[in-house]
Order: sequence, then C-alpha cells, then structure tokens
Amino acid sequence: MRIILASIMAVILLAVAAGLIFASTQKLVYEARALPTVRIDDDPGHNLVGPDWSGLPTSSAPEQASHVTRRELGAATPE
Amino acid sequence: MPLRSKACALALLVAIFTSPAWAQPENTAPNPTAQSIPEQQLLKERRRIEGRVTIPDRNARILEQPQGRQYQAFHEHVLPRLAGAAIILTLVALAAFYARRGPITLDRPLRGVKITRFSAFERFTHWLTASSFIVLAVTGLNFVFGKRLLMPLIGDDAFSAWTQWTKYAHDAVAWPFMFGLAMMIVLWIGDNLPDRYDREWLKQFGGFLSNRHLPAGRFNAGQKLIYWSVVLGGLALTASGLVLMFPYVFDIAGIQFAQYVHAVTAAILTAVILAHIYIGTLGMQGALESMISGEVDLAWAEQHHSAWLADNQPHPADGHLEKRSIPAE
Repeated sequence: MRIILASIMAVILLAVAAGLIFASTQKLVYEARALPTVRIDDDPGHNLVGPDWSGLPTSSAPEQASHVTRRELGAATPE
Repeated sequence: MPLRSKACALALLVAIFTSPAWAQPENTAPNPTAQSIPEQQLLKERRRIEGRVTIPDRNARILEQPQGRQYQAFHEHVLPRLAGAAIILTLVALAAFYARRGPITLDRPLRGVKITRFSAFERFTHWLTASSFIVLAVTGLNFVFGKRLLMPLIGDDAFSAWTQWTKYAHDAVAWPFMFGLAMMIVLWIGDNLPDRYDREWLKQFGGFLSNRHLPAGRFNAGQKLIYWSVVLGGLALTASGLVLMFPYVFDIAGIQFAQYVHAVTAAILTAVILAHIYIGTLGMQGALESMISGEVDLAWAEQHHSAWLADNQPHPADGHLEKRSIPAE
C-alpha cells in the first residue's frame, strides 16, 4: 500500500511541477493572440456586446462606459 | 397668455410625453443580427462563411467551412456515440463474462510459499501510470460527456468551474502519465515479446472458459495484449496530446486530426483498461495482491505462469526468483 501512496504522491508532485512550468511559460489565448490593434478582451468568456447588444455587461451600466473593460466597469457598477 | 397659445403649449407637451421616443425603454441599441440572413441559409448557398480581417492571421477570416463542420459533427455526434458504445459494450461483456464464469480461482491449495512477482520499482511504475490514467480518463470523459450528463445535474456554473479545473488537471497529469509510460516500456518490453506459448493461449482464450490452465511465461498473451495496447495507445495519446497542448505548431487541420486520434485512442484504451481492471480485481483471485504486495503464492504461479516458474528458481529464504542454472551437457 505504501507503494501506491508513494506513486500517487509522485503523480501530484509531477503534475504540480508541470502546471507551474506551464503557468510560467504559456500565455492564455486572449493574451497570446492579441495584437497592438486587436484586443481579445481581458475577461475570457465575457460577452463583448453584452446581454442586450449595448456593449455593456449590464443594461443598468452607464452608457458612456461602453468602451471600458468589464474589470474597470466592475469597480464602479455592482452587478 | 392667450387661449390659443396655451392650447399650442399643451398640445406640444402631450406630443412630447406620448412620443414613441419617450416611451421607449432606456436601452435602444439595435440587435445587429435580428435582420441578418440565417446561418443555415448562408451555408446552403455558400459552403464557407468568411469575412475580412486586417490581422496577419488570414485564417481568422474563416468563420465556418466544410472541414470545420465535419469536425464539429465528429466531436458532437460521432465521438460521444463511439466512446459511449466502447465503454458500455465493454462493461456489458465483462458483466456477462463474470455471470457465466465467475472469478478465476485457484484449483489447488495454497502452498504457503510466497515468491516475488513484481519489484517495488515495478509496482511504483504501474501505480504511477494507473493513477495518472484514471485522472486523465475521468477528466477526458468529462470533455465528451460532461455537458450532456453532468451539467444538467450540477448546473451551468458548477459545471463550468469543474470543467476548467479538469482541463488544468488533464494537462498537468499528462506528464506523470508520459513518464510512467516511458518507464513501463523500458521495464517490461522484454517480457512482453511474443513467445511459443502465446498462440495456444490465444487459441483457447487462456483456458478461461474451459477451466484449463495453459502454460505462460512471466506474462500471458492476454497481458501482452494489454501491455501493447497501453504502449501503442499511450504513445498515440502522447503524440496527439502534445500537439493539442502546444497548438499552432501545425495548422488547424493538424490540430483537428490530433483531436481525432486523441479522442478515439482514449476511448478504446479506456475500454481496454476497464477489462484490465476487471481481471486484476474481480476476475482473478490473487492478481491484485501481486501488484500490491509484489508477492504471489507458489500455487498461483504454478497455475497461471508455469513456464515463468519453470524458468526461474524461487530462493528458499526470501522468495526472490533467480534464473535456473542449466547444467552443462
């Protein structure tokens, strides 16, 4: 049984090491594929046009904020 | 103010407050797709849907194409059916075999002499690869079946969080699996080469149905089939998995091909490993013990691996096997 536990520990250690190396060497798609003229948003999964096609995450958000990021908006507007 | 002026002002106020613009909801942004041509109609007339881009990646202009739809059809329809059939049919076959044959037990009394079948390093390698594979199989099956089976049970948000972590786990645990696979190849390839007992073993299905005990070396033909399935399947999974893990080394067609290979191989290998788990636990008395403690009873070795035992001599003190010395003629 000790061998099984040791092998499971080895799996965890190797996986964590691989994950840390990945995290330090790879970028998320929205970072890696962005260009100076093309932004792929700073919040993966976020609907760029908003639920009512206004460009806003929520319909109650101020209209002039349509160009700001969701993170910036989140600081000002509770969702 | 003359009456006429008052009437005009009143009419103006009524017109303002009852105008459609005033009555509209706060948000008036148009829905740009409301009046657009439906996707299916576009696809009927043009096989591709593409636009124009100014970025260097020209492939980004393609939104839909025949190859992409074929891939989607595979991913959404063919793969779930194929993987589901492979796993369910294997489970049904194993259940039927168990119902008919039951566990394979020893037909002779235990001798009380333990001999070493697997060293500590061999067992470590086996469980390293096995535990990695279980994590990879569970997380991989989630990619195929999760949104169909799990999401309705736990909800969208929980499934989203779970799937994100399974993706991280799948990528990370792939490395110990590859490490274990490499060690298994080095450790056991010599014992899994074909030998003179394999043909008869396969012909009689190991004697499982006829209750005969056929001679076998360290590994019988069934175990060799499992081994080579794991080695070849594992190498295919490794190669295709690395393509998926480091995308855009190949173009999109290469990535999709890697996904075909990865998914189909994983489904087949999962079914094979289910059979391996069955025979190692429920199916055969003493098999699991050999991979936990590394030792088997002499009677077990005589029944299942008589040729291996005949070629080796158990050491009377500690049960370690040594090559029999062949006397000079």
